Amino acid sequence: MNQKVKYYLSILLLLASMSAFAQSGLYTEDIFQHYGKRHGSTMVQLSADVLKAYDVTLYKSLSFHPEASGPYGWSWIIACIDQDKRRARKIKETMLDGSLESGYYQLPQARKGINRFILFKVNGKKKATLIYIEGTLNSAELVSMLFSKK
Amino acid sequence: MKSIEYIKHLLDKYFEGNTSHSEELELRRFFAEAKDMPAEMSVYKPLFGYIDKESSMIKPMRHHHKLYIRYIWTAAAASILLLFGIAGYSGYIHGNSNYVIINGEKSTNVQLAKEEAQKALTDVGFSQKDISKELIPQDMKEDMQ
Repeated sequence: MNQKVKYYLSILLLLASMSAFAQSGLYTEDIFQHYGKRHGSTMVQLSADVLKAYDVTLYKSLSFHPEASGPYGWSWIIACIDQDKRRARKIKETMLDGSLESGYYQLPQARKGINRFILFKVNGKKKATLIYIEGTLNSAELVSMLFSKK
Repeated sequence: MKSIEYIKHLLDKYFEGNTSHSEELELRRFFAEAKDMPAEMSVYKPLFGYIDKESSMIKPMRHHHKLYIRYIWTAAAASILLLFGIAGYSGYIHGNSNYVIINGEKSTNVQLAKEEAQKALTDVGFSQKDISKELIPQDMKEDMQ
Protein backbone atom coordinates (compact mmCIF):
# COMPACT_ATOMS: atom_id res chain seq x y z
CA MET A 1 0.00 0.00 0.00
CA ASN A 2 1.25 3.43 -0.82
CA GLN A 3 2.90 5.03 2.20
CA LYS A 4 0.98 8.27 1.80
CA VAL A 5 -2.31 6.35 1.76
CA LYS A 6 -1.28 4.53 4.96
CA TYR A 7 -0.33 7.85 6.55
CA TYR A 8 -3.62 9.56 5.72
CA LEU A 9 -5.54 6.43 6.75
CA SER A 10 -3.91 6.60 10.19
CA ILE A 11 -4.85 10.27 10.52
CA LEU A 12 -8.43 9.53 9.45
CA LEU A 13 -8.74 6.70 11.96
CA LEU A 14 -7.40 8.99 14.65
CA LEU A 15 -9.93 11.70 13.86
CA ALA A 16 -12.79 9.20 13.57
CA SER A 17 -12.03 7.63 16.95
CA MET A 18 -11.79 11.06 18.59
CA SER A 19 -15.11 12.20 17.13
CA ALA A 20 -16.75 8.92 18.21
CA PHE A 21 -15.54 9.60 21.72
CA ALA A 22 -16.84 13.17 21.58
CA GLN A 23 -20.39 11.92 20.90
CA SER A 24 -20.71 10.68 24.49
CA GLY A 25 -21.60 14.26 25.57
CA LEU A 26 -24.93 14.85 27.27
CA TYR A 27 -27.31 17.78 27.08
CA THR A 28 -27.66 17.83 30.85
CA GLU A 29 -23.95 18.66 30.99
CA ASP A 30 -25.02 22.12 29.76
CA ILE A 31 -27.14 22.55 32.90
CA PHE A 32 -24.10 21.82 35.06
CA GLN A 33 -22.11 24.31 33.01
CA HIS A 34 -24.75 27.03 33.15
CA TYR A 35 -25.84 26.81 36.79
CA GLY A 36 -22.82 25.19 38.47
CA LYS A 37 -20.93 28.34 39.44
CA ARG A 38 -23.94 30.50 40.27
CA HIS A 39 -24.83 32.05 43.57
CA GLY A 40 -27.38 29.75 45.21
CA SER A 41 -26.05 26.65 43.46
CA THR A 42 -24.01 23.77 44.80
CA MET A 43 -22.14 21.60 42.35
CA VAL A 44 -20.19 18.52 43.39
CA GLN A 45 -17.88 16.29 41.43
CA LEU A 46 -16.39 13.13 42.86
CA SER A 47 -14.28 10.68 40.91
CA ALA A 48 -13.36 7.02 41.22
CA ASP A 49 -10.57 7.53 43.76
CA VAL A 50 -13.07 8.44 46.49
CA LEU A 51 -16.03 6.40 45.19
CA LYS A 52 -14.51 2.93 44.83
CA ALA A 53 -16.65 1.50 47.63
CA TYR A 54 -19.86 2.44 45.78
CA ASP A 55 -18.91 1.01 42.36
CA VAL A 56 -19.15 4.57 41.05
CA THR A 57 -16.46 6.05 38.83
CA LEU A 58 -17.96 9.51 38.44
CA TYR A 59 -20.53 11.40 40.45
CA LYS A 60 -21.77 14.89 39.64
CA SER A 61 -24.58 16.70 41.37
CA LEU A 62 -26.07 20.13 41.07
CA SER A 63 -28.56 21.74 43.43
CA PHE A 64 -29.87 24.97 42.00
CA HIS A 65 -32.74 27.38 41.60
CA PRO A 66 -33.76 27.53 37.95
CA GLU A 67 -34.33 30.97 36.47
CA ALA A 68 -37.98 31.98 36.62
CA SER A 69 -37.75 33.51 33.14
CA GLY A 70 -35.28 33.88 30.31
CA PRO A 71 -33.82 31.40 27.85
CA TYR A 72 -32.22 29.20 30.53
CA GLY A 73 -35.32 28.75 32.65
CA TRP A 74 -37.49 25.69 33.34
CA SER A 75 -38.36 25.01 29.72
CA TRP A 76 -34.67 24.92 28.73
CA ILE A 77 -33.85 22.57 31.62
CA ILE A 78 -36.72 20.23 30.74
CA ALA A 79 -35.66 20.35 27.08
CA CYS A 80 -32.10 19.31 28.03
CA ILE A 81 -33.42 16.44 30.12
CA ASP A 82 -35.79 15.44 27.32
CA GLN A 83 -32.91 15.25 24.84
CA ASP A 84 -30.97 12.86 27.07
CA LYS A 85 -34.18 11.00 27.90
CA ARG A 86 -34.56 10.10 24.22
CA ARG A 87 -31.39 8.02 24.47
CA ALA A 88 -32.34 6.45 27.80
CA ARG A 89 -32.80 2.68 28.15
CA LYS A 90 -34.92 3.00 31.28
CA ILE A 91 -37.17 5.94 32.17
CA LYS A 92 -39.04 6.44 35.40
CA GLU A 93 -40.80 9.75 35.98
CA THR A 94 -43.29 11.22 38.38
CA MET A 95 -45.38 14.20 37.35
CA LEU A 96 -47.07 16.72 39.59
CA ASP A 97 -49.78 18.99 38.15
CA GLY A 98 -48.58 18.13 34.65
CA SER A 99 -44.96 19.05 35.35
CA LEU A 100 -41.97 16.82 35.84
CA GLU A 101 -41.39 16.33 39.54
CA SER A 102 -38.78 13.62 39.43
CA GLY A 103 -36.99 11.66 36.75
CA TYR A 104 -34.76 8.63 36.74
CA TYR A 105 -33.04 7.77 33.49
CA GLN A 106 -30.64 4.98 32.72
CA LEU A 107 -28.58 5.89 29.67
CA PRO A 108 -26.77 3.55 27.28
CA GLN A 109 -23.50 2.32 28.74
CA ALA A 110 -20.55 4.68 28.43
CA ARG A 111 -18.42 1.64 27.66
CA LYS A 112 -18.78 -2.06 28.40
CA GLY A 113 -19.90 -2.55 31.99
CA ILE A 114 -20.10 1.16 32.80
CA ASN A 115 -23.69 2.24 33.46
CA ARG A 116 -24.81 5.86 33.39
CA PHE A 117 -27.73 7.42 35.20
CA ILE A 118 -29.35 10.83 35.36
CA LEU A 119 -31.52 11.70 38.35
CA PHE A 120 -33.61 14.82 38.60
CA LYS A 121 -35.98 16.09 41.24
CA VAL A 122 -37.73 19.35 42.04
CA ASN A 123 -38.81 20.13 45.56
CA GLY A 124 -41.67 22.34 46.71
CA LYS A 125 -39.48 25.43 46.95
CA LYS A 126 -38.69 25.13 43.25
CA LYS A 127 -35.20 24.03 44.03
CA ALA A 128 -33.95 21.44 41.56
CA THR A 129 -31.40 18.68 42.02
CA LEU A 130 -29.68 17.06 39.08
CA ILE A 131 -27.33 14.10 39.48
CA TYR A 132 -25.19 12.25 36.98
CA ILE A 133 -23.73 8.89 38.06
CA GLU A 134 -21.40 6.68 36.10
CA GLY A 135 -20.08 3.32 37.26
CA THR A 136 -20.43 -0.43 37.41
CA LEU A 137 -23.35 -0.27 39.83
CA ASN A 138 -26.63 -1.45 38.34
CA SER A 139 -30.12 0.02 38.41
CA ALA A 140 -31.25 -1.98 41.45
CA GLU A 141 -28.18 -0.97 43.44
CA LEU A 142 -28.76 2.67 42.63
CA VAL A 143 -32.44 2.56 43.55
CA SER A 144 -31.69 0.88 46.87
CA MET A 145 -29.02 3.51 47.50
CA LEU A 146 -31.58 6.26 46.85
CA PHE A 147 -34.20 4.58 49.00
CA SER A 148 -31.87 4.47 51.97
CA LYS A 149 -31.18 8.19 51.67
CA LYS A 150 -34.45 9.28 53.26
CA MET B 1 43.71 -2.60 -14.92
CA LYS B 2 45.40 -4.72 -12.30
CA SER B 3 47.65 -7.56 -13.40
CA ILE B 4 46.26 -11.05 -13.58
CA GLU B 5 48.85 -12.21 -11.06
CA TYR B 6 47.74 -9.56 -8.58
CA ILE B 7 44.09 -10.59 -9.03
CA LYS B 8 45.03 -14.24 -8.50
CA HIS B 9 46.82 -13.19 -5.34
CA LEU B 10 43.69 -11.30 -4.18
CA LEU B 11 41.52 -14.33 -5.00
CA ASP B 12 43.75 -16.55 -2.87
CA LYS B 13 43.51 -14.03 -0.02
CA TYR B 14 39.71 -13.82 -0.54
CA PHE B 15 39.20 -17.56 -0.22
CA GLU B 16 41.43 -17.59 2.81
CA GLY B 17 39.24 -14.88 4.27
CA ASN B 18 42.07 -12.37 4.55
CA THR B 19 40.97 -9.67 2.09
CA SER B 20 40.23 -6.15 3.21
CA HIS B 21 37.12 -4.28 2.12
CA SER B 22 39.09 -2.29 -0.47
CA GLU B 23 40.63 -5.46 -1.86
CA GLU B 24 37.20 -7.04 -2.24
CA LEU B 25 36.07 -3.93 -4.06
CA GLU B 26 39.05 -4.31 -6.40
CA LEU B 27 38.03 -7.88 -7.12
CA ARG B 28 34.45 -6.86 -7.86
CA ARG B 29 35.59 -4.02 -10.05
CA PHE B 30 37.92 -6.38 -11.95
CA PHE B 31 35.24 -8.98 -12.61
CA ALA B 32 32.75 -6.29 -13.58
CA GLU B 33 35.09 -4.53 -16.02
CA ALA B 34 37.48 -7.16 -17.39
CA LYS B 35 36.53 -8.47 -20.80
CA ASP B 36 39.34 -10.99 -21.22
CA MET B 37 40.48 -13.16 -18.39
CA PRO B 38 41.92 -16.65 -18.09
CA ALA B 39 39.34 -19.41 -18.16
CA GLU B 40 40.27 -20.57 -14.65
CA MET B 41 39.42 -17.08 -13.37
CA SER B 42 36.18 -16.62 -15.30
CA VAL B 43 34.57 -19.28 -13.13
CA TYR B 44 34.65 -16.75 -10.29
CA LYS B 45 32.85 -14.09 -12.32
CA PRO B 46 29.34 -15.29 -11.37
CA LEU B 47 30.38 -15.24 -7.72
CA PHE B 48 31.41 -11.58 -7.76
CA GLY B 49 28.67 -10.75 -10.23
CA TYR B 50 26.21 -12.29 -7.79
CA ILE B 51 27.65 -10.20 -4.97
CA ASP B 52 27.20 -7.11 -7.15
CA LYS B 53 23.63 -8.06 -7.88
CA GLU B 54 23.03 -8.73 -4.20
CA SER B 55 24.44 -5.34 -3.21
CA SER B 56 22.20 -3.65 -5.77
CA MET B 57 19.22 -5.44 -4.19
CA ILE B 58 20.15 -4.17 -0.75
CA LYS B 59 19.45 -0.56 -1.70
CA PRO B 60 15.73 -0.94 -2.43
CA MET B 61 15.38 -3.12 0.66
CA ARG B 62 16.98 -0.38 2.73
CA HIS B 63 14.59 2.08 1.11
CA HIS B 64 11.63 -0.14 2.11
CA HIS B 65 13.07 -0.48 5.57
CA LYS B 66 13.27 3.31 5.90
CA LEU B 67 9.65 3.67 4.79
CA TYR B 68 8.60 0.96 7.21
CA ILE B 69 10.39 2.73 10.08
CA ARG B 70 8.76 6.01 9.04
CA TYR B 71 5.35 4.31 9.03
CA ILE B 72 5.99 2.83 12.48
CA TRP B 73 6.92 6.28 13.79
CA THR B 74 3.83 7.80 12.21
CA ALA B 75 1.64 5.11 13.76
CA ALA B 76 3.33 5.60 17.14
CA ALA B 77 2.87 9.37 16.92
CA ALA B 78 -0.79 8.90 15.94
CA SER B 79 -1.33 6.53 18.88
CA ILE B 80 0.25 8.97 21.33
CA LEU B 81 -1.87 11.78 19.89
CA LEU B 82 -4.96 9.59 20.25
CA LEU B 83 -4.15 8.78 23.88
CA PHE B 84 -3.56 12.44 24.67
CA GLY B 85 -6.77 13.33 22.84
CA ILE B 86 -8.83 10.81 24.79
CA ALA B 87 -7.19 11.71 28.08
CA GLY B 88 -7.64 15.41 27.40
CA TYR B 89 -11.26 15.05 26.33
CA SER B 90 -12.02 12.73 29.22
CA GLY B 91 -10.45 15.23 31.58
CA TYR B 92 -12.49 18.01 30.00
CA ILE B 93 -15.79 16.14 30.31
CA HIS B 94 -15.26 14.30 33.55
CA GLY B 95 -12.37 16.03 35.19
CA ASN B 96 -10.14 14.01 37.41
CA SER B 97 -10.52 15.99 40.55
CA ASN B 98 -12.92 16.01 43.43
CA TYR B 99 -14.45 19.34 44.27
CA VAL B 100 -17.50 21.23 45.38
CA ILE B 101 -18.59 24.65 44.18
CA ILE B 102 -20.89 26.47 46.59
CA ASN B 103 -22.18 29.89 45.56
CA GLY B 104 -19.42 30.08 42.94
CA GLU B 105 -16.65 29.30 45.43
CA LYS B 106 -14.67 26.19 44.57
CA SER B 107 -13.30 23.92 47.28
CA THR B 108 -11.29 20.75 46.89
CA ASN B 109 -12.15 19.61 50.42
CA VAL B 110 -13.20 16.01 49.75
CA GLN B 111 -15.09 15.68 53.03
CA LEU B 112 -17.18 18.75 52.24
CA ALA B 113 -17.76 17.49 48.69
CA LYS B 114 -18.93 14.13 50.08
CA GLU B 115 -21.34 15.84 52.50
CA GLU B 116 -22.85 17.93 49.71
CA ALA B 117 -23.09 14.82 47.53
CA GLN B 118 -25.01 13.05 50.33
CA LYS B 119 -27.41 16.01 50.56
CA ALA B 120 -28.07 15.89 46.82
CA LEU B 121 -28.69 12.13 46.98
CA THR B 122 -31.10 12.69 49.86
CA ASP B 123 -32.90 15.33 47.77
CA VAL B 124 -33.51 12.89 44.91
CA GLY B 125 -34.03 9.86 47.18
CA PHE B 126 -37.31 8.17 48.08
CA SER B 127 -38.94 7.69 51.41
CA GLN B 128 -41.43 5.11 52.67
CA LYS B 129 -43.94 7.97 52.50
CA ASP B 130 -43.29 8.42 48.77
CA ILE B 131 -43.97 4.72 48.23
CA SER B 132 -47.19 4.77 50.26
CA LYS B 133 -48.34 7.86 48.37
CA GLU B 134 -47.86 5.96 45.10
CA LEU B 135 -45.33 8.57 43.95
CA ILE B 136 -42.93 5.86 42.88
CA PRO B 137 -43.68 3.95 39.67
CA GLN B 138 -44.41 0.24 40.10
CA ASP B 139 -41.31 -1.04 38.30
CA MET B 140 -39.13 1.18 40.44
CA LYS B 141 -40.67 -0.35 43.55
CA GLU B 142 -39.83 -3.76 42.12
CA ASP B 143 -36.20 -2.65 41.75
CA MET B 144 -36.19 -1.73 45.44
CA GLN B 145 -37.35 -5.20 46.43
